[in-house]
Amino acid sequence: MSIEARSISKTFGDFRALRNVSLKVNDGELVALLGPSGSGKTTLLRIIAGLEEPDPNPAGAILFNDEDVTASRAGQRRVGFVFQHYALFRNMNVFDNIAFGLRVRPRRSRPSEAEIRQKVSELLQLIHLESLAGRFPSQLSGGQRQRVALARALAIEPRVLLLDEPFGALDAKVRHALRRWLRRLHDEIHVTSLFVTHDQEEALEVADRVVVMRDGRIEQDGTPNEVYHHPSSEFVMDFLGNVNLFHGRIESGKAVFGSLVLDHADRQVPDGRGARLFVRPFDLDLNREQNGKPGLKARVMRIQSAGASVRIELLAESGEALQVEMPHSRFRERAVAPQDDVFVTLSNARIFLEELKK
Amino acid sequence: MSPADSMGRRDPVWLRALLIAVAVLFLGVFLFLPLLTVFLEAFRKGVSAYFASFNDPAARSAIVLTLVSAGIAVPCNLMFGLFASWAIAKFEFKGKSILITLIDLPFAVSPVISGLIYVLLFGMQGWFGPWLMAHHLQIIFAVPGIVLATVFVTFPFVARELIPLMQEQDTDEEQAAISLGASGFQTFWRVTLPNVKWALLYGVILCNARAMGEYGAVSVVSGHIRGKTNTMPLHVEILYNEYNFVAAFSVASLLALLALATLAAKALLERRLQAAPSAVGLGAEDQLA
Repeated sequence: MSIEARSISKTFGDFRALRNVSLKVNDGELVALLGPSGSGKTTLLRIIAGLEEPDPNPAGAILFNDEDVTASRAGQRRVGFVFQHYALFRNMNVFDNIAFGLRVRPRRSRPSEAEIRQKVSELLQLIHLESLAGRFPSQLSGGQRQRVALARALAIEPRVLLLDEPFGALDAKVRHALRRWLRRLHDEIHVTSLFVTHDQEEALEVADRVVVMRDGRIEQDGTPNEVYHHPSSEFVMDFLGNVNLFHGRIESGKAVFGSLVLDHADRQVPDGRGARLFVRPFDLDLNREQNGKPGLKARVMRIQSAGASVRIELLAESGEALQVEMPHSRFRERAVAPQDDVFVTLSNARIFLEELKK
Repeated sequence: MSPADSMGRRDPVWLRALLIAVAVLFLGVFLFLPLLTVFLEAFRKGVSAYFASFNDPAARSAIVLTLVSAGIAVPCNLMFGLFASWAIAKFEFKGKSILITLIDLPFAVSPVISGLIYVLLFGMQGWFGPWLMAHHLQIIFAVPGIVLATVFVTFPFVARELIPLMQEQDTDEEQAAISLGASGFQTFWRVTLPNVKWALLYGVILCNARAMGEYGAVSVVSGHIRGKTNTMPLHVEILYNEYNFVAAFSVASLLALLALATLAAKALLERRLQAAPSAVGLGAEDQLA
């Protein structure tokens, strides 16, 4: 079942949460809506679920498999919604929570109590909580609650699954385990899923496609590889991981950042226009001497080698603080120590021109 | 007081003794002594005289009227309180703050004034007086007036209990229920109501205690017609003014017993509410075993 949002806008008072957003999630895809808080991602999710109404003007539409569901209420859309804080029914045990969606069906379409039991025990198996069916939500850990919330949403055999910050309230270790589990689960049941997150690592790891949002608009929409390696804007580059930033300007077809001079492909850009250079910490390398490649001089300030890779903080001659990340093996080859003067070279730097002031 | 509270304190013994003595004395003089007096006076002429007081038709009628007016006022305010707090806590609408203020009005107005309002509205010289007369309807100095006054005075109890709790619980669970396909009524009946059931019961108990014990407002609209429009508190006053102390205190003892029962129920509920603020479902504790 595909999900499509067509030119959706939403205003809360003076605040424009969504500005003419269109998005399509293909059948069986797992897509992440990624963005900082206030970027409109949760609002979009809630509008797709029917929990919020889009602005009537300009009129947008929500389609499930090309069927317009904009006018139907949340309960009729058969959407599995997993809330950020789980929203489990506190007065019901795990079993009754999961069975809720089946028990509230009109008598004609309601399964028999035996069928409901069968269905719930299947779901309990799926979330590995068979032994806790009688527990109340307050007696479960965060990760267990999250899984119950997911099973409850799956019980109604949803056409699409929507998850609002599904791992946001969990501690780091449980979060990692749960998101790998969610990915495996998705590969098993293949229900079209859309989840909201502000954690770029989570989006890149779990999703088939990442939709980056900012200020109520979609900034970039692509595979994790595309958005990570080919960010369409400074914002996406900055949001998807650590970056080093240099300010400079365009001069006779070259981008000049202090002593660092790089070719700039677009020759049409007039001289003097501001430019910004973004480069990820592990796209920087350290050399003892200048080796002909463009680079800049810097001094090693601090080395942090506990962890999977070595992180080195430097101070460039021009005054910028730099972060370099490299594997332990290369760090041993480079053999740098604090207070060493080194030459920093770049690969994969991205230059963004400053917006022209109108 | 828990051990941790007292351990850090190094107040001298005499000060502690003094403070405790003051507290006990205060409680004794203002609470236990009057309560004791009620029962002592009621039984002054023996057990048979005590029970004889209730054989008086006027006393019986007062008891019945009290039960009737509480029996009408409490369900009315239960329904009203439930719906008002539901609307206030779960929905956004214009005039919400006015509604909240209106709910508190009976707390702010003196009960005598509340009674007087009904006299001014429905009394012979009141706004609707002539019309009511023409249709042979009597509200003031009759049972309907007493019920109305009781409803008004006990108006806020249930709503005031429920609003903060419902607001704290937010609408997440309701939204989850709706997204799972539940209708508005199913959501209310299966999710909202069970989540507030103990607070609701608590509100009902307080509402009932006030409904049975109300004096001021009822006194104004009742007319004190013996055997007809006297509630228990009014009856106690009449008996007392007639120097019929045993009967007065006997009826008063019933009200005192009601108060004690209310307190006991309240204490029990409070313990329940504190023990399991979120998992108040039945058998929550058993499930841990």
